Amino acid sequence: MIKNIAMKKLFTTCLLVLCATIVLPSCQHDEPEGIKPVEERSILLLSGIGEIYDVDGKVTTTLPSCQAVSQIIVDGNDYFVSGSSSKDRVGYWKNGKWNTLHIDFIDDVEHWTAGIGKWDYYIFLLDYPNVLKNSGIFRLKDSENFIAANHGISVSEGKCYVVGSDLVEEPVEARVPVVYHEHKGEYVSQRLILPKGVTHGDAWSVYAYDRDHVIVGGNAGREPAIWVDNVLHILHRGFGVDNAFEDIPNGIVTAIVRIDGHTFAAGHEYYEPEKKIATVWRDGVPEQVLR
Amino acid sequence: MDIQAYGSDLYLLTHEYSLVHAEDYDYEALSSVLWMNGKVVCKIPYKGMVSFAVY
Repeated sequence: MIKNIAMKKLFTTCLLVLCATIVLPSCQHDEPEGIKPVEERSILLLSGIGEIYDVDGKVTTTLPSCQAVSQIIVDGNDYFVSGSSSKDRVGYWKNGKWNTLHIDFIDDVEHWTAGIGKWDYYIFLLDYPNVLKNSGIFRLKDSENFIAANHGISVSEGKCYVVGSDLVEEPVEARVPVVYHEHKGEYVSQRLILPKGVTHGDAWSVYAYDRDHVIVGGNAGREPAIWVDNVLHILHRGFGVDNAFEDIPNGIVTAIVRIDGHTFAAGHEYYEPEKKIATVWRDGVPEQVLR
Repeated sequence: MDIQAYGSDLYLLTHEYSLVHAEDYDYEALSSVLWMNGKVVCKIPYKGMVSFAVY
């Protein structure tokens, strides 16, 4: 009898220990698997001349042979920077070290790498007038007058998009927003639709997701806008203030990201005719960052 | 300006959160401000920041 009670107590104790072993660790971690808690994350800020700062404002790395840089991205615990090397080579910096892409260019132009993307072991560089995929060259077709946006490249599951503006002559000579995608070994452009009566616009940012979807941010005429799979959405300006500069948009979207199915478009508008303010549009609704 | 997602968190880099027109900038006095979900993570002197990364 005593032995049975002891056995039951031992069994109960073991069960409690087992439950605690399973349950307690899951209670201690609020973050999804693979997502670091806020205090354990690393943040790197990249200056235009290739200095990498930490959040305390200290230079942690100076990229070697750097002439100018355009973008930093991460993949796992590695970071990758696009830009131009003073050694007249095309490539990128991985974790602060230069990697040359060995490419036999047939053109004779000065290369400027405006952005970088990554998927699997492929590095994509927006290296005007081409997209480079590791050592492969993909020409941006009919891009003589194309101006790529800074960070104007985005890759989702291997599918790459490039944005910027192109010059058109009809109905009037003007710059219009375009998005390039790969087609049979080269990149072909598509003009993004503008509202009726609006003749100019620009694409300043791009975010690709789920391989076949793309959001482009910019301005349609003088209004901030996004194009979701090429469908135009003019964004409401919270202040509704027109600026004092005839040729400058009243608002622009300069960066885009999607989180949990929501679209965040960042840019600015004006709160006084000569003063602008950073704005984030969450699913099209403006939220001022801070005045 | 740059924007990044880390998990469900939104990070935003701004330089001009309340500033006069570009012609009037005093760049020496500017700061870059990094936000996470609307709260300031850091505010550091402006060095022509073009991009950032969180990992």
